[in-house]
Amino acid sequence: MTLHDKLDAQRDRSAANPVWRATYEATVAELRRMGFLDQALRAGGRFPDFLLPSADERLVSLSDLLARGPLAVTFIRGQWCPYCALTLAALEESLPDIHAAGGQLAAITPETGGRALAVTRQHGLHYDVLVDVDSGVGLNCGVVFHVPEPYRSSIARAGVDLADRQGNGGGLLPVPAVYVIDRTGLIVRDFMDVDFTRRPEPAEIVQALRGLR
Amino acid sequence: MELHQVRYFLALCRTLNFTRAAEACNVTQPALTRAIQRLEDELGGPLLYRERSLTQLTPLGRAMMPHLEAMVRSAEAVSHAAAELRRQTPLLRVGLVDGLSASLIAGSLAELERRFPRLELHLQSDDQKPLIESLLQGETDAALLIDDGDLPERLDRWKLLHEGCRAVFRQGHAFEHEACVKLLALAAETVVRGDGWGGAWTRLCDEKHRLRAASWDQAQHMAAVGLGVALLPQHVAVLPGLLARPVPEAGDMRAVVLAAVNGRMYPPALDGFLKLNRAKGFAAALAA
Repeated sequence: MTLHDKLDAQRDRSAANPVWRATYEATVAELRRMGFLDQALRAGGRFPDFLLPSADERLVSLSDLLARGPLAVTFIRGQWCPYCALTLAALEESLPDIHAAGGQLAAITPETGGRALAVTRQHGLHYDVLVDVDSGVGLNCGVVFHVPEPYRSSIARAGVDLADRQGNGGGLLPVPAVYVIDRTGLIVRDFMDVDFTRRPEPAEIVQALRGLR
Repeated sequence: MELHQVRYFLALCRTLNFTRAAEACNVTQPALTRAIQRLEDELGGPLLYRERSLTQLTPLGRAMMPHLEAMVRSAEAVSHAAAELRRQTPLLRVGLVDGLSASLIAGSLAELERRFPRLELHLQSDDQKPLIESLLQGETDAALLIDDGDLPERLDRWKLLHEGCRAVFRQGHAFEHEACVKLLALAAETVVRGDGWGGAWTRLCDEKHRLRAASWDQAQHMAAVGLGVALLPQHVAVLPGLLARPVPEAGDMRAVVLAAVNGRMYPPALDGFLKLNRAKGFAAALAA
């Protein structure tokens, strides 16, 4: 099964609940109406520098990562998101291909309090999960948005306390954007969709990394 | 949400004047107004009241301001880091309230030392009141404190962990054979009360205690000579020769928070220290 197949299956399962489905469609429509993607950092731009804690308590900079080779960075929403879980697992599976293409992978999460380590262990990840405390990197990339109603209430009702998980009451989530960055920091490819259930297939990321040595 | 939108909003919060905010941000007033409107659209409501010559924050504006400030601080942190490092020796002064072991933050200190090779690191341990004062006076950069509900507003604080309670006693005491200590069993004991508990003590018992100690060490010394059983927060280091057992029925007695004075920017070593400890999980088991 490709990641797309798994995401479709998950979406179908969730959409069986008419309340979820209505909320999901309204949220995606709202983000489109706001012209959200028009403002985000895209290919051709430079990825902003950062110094973020990793799941294993190191401070990792963009320069550290780029010194080792071109980089694919994926924003994830949190441990509570089933689409992020499927994506993280699929990326782990594709890691040998990513490395063979000369590239490396990092995930960026807004969730604090040990959740980066928890998600690393949960999926047996061998790539860095970095914590974007207070969403500074997300803000620099223009990929974070204030979660609109009715989605905000829907998440809260599901027991997901974003303020607690992120250590910040701003009520923000990132769009699950993926950036492929060459060794100079130039973004050569971006994948983003306001529909958070849609993610790039790992093979597309591998393809973008190839030839960037 | 875009960085410039948030910067413009924060300039407006400071100036409460569209003209001056636009000047401060080096943009035209219409551009600033447009950016604020987009932000209001995203946040779902007005952030400012405009009445003739008077501009004020709405409740939404006031509520969002600290979070947006935190985000801008985070977004701008790293661009300051590189410049700072070239200029000066980084300094980090961290305080720990009496009873909290430096082992809680040792990992982050090691990583900061690695990342900022000429880092000057000063640790101090003190009672909460003098530590808070030191923070507010700018003599300490960050501290691990107990959230007693009374922390000054000027302090940003982030919860690190909840602490339970342990019974500490000398060898030979009957508790030695228990895996944990029940409240009922404690009721039959002479308990040494430590003053550091504050209001949390009433969760354990509300009797007057004839044995009181001003510090955790003092309480332990009293236990060591058989005067009674000391009840200590979970992370206090136990003196050699004494034994400790958890008191699960006491539940979470107090919250340990990381605190720093609210400000526009944190120096890079402080920013790293705060991020490392906020990112980390301190609780033994963390629910997903």
